Amino acid sequence: MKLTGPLERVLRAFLADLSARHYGYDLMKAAGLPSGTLYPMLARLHDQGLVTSEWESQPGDASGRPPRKYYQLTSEGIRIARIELARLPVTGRLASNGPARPAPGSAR
Amino acid sequence: MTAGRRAQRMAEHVIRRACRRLPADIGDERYREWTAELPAIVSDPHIRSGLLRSARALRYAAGSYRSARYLRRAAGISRRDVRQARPAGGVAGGWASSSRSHPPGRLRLPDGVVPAAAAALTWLMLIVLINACPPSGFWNYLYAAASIVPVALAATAIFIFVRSIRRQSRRPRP
Repeated sequence: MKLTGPLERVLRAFLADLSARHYGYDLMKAAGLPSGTLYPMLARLHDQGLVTSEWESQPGDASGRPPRKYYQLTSEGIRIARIELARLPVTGRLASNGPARPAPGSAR
Repeated sequence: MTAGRRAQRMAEHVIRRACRRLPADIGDERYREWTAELPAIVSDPHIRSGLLRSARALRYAAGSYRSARYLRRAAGISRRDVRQARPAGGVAGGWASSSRSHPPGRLRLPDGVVPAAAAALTWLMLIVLINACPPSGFWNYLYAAASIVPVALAATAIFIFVRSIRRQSRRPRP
């Protein structure tokens, strides 16, 4: 896995709260990436077996919004993400401490 | 309809168009996934301005084109394959009617015939008009400007014809 800047930010967003399931917009905000970068990356991670996805069975609020698709790192994904991020030089780590604000409605 | 709702509808439309570039099964699932994010974007409490929320929703939708292109390439499918394989249903409904496919049982004219006929007709009308009102003074400019129309139509006819020939030569023979 080649660790690019955007991928690093996505992995950090996932690792920030391992128990949380993240939906697309949540990750976009946490990683500061546009949808056109995030979704191809998630698809790639999914194909590699590093991320798992599942549809929300029923929306948590009563707003009548459609069910979302949630993403979560697999155990293999967590292991590889930790290894890859640990390999980064200290300067890279400091530089990539981007926004990590969870979006409202993130499932825990 | 509120501005946010309008932006959401526009974004849904953009996503639908992006998903039409994908095979039906992948496109339908991605359409559901991507449009399900829109309510969260247009009602994001961290963005105060409604205009910014709408802009973000549209930007999000525009990104779906890039995502769709990646997913299509990852699946090893070309756009032409999608176009040929896609039935008129699901989020793809309307693809057939909005594209170049032709209703069955209706006479189809060869490509480029309509603009060619329009060019010839316009040219004839112009000749008749010039004979009736010989050009002089201001009319010179008017006739010169009007003569561009049949030339442009003829050029369009040639372009369409050549394009259809090229498409046919590229199409795999059975």
